[in-house]
Amino acid sequence: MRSGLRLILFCLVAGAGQAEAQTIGYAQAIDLLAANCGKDIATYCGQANLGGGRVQQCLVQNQARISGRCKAATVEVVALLRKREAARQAVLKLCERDIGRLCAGVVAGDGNLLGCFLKVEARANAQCRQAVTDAGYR
Amino acid sequence: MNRLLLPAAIALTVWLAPAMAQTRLNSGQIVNSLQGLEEVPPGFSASLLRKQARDSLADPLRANPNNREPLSQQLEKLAQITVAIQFDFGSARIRPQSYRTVGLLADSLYHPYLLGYRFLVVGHTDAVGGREPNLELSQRRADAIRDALINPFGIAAQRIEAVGLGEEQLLNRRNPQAAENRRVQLINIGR
Repeated sequence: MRSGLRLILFCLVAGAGQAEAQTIGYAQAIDLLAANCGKDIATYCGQANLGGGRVQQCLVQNQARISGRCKAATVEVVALLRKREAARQAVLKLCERDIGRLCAGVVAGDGNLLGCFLKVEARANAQCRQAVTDAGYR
Repeated sequence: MNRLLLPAAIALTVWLAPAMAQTRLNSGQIVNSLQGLEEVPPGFSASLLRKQARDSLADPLRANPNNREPLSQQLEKLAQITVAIQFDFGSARIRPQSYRTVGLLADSLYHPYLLGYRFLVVGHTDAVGGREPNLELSQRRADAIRDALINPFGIAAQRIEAVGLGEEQLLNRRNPQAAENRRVQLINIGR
């Protein structure tokens, strides 16, 4: 019952926003992992450092012992992070025509093209705009 | 009772959500703060800051923390964000409750507005304990944040430098032991 209620609340709050990204960034990844793996990390990796990827390494080393819930969350988080990375790779291609139209004359490199484009992307095609959302650029 | 509470709880949640979203730091706010208008002065570097901090320890005029002028006025003028990151006591291990903040910094550094820039992580302590150990600890803590930004969060190593200033650049000199002195700055140091 309680988790049902939480789900309803979550849907209501999430649904109130605009088109949601179908990917996550690292801060959200941490939120998901904290909620689902917090206990496992405290139990098995309490002394591990975040840097050097040591918390992840520790979870892998202890995978025989960690909870199914944490394992499932880890798989989901990795998939969502990869999807964001893929969206970042895809943005330039999906938005190519609009970028050419709206940012003519901008020299490519160091995110210059995207930097220009994000200021005017409301005028771009829908597929491109979804990629901008999924890339986490809003 | 439950029937009454449930709609009330939902209404409250929907009502509170926008307000909460404003108070919780998000990567958009960080990206805005880190976009630099101020020119980075020539000669400004992480190694220079480290040297200034070392020299500060030996300077008798800087012995009293209440009168200790900031080491680098320039530092405060550059585009930056200040965050609090929790570490284990006397250690450079980032506490899990602060993983999210480091992840948020990483998310911001991926934004196209900031992609071409390099950044300095500057760690500060309060004035509890010795100046020299504080300087050393703050360097290790700044390094720990840099390490985490690089792996697991995938920021290119050449974009990030780390400097610890110990208690040599207190935020609150009137109260050198105040918690607000313990802070981390992420500073845009140009291309």
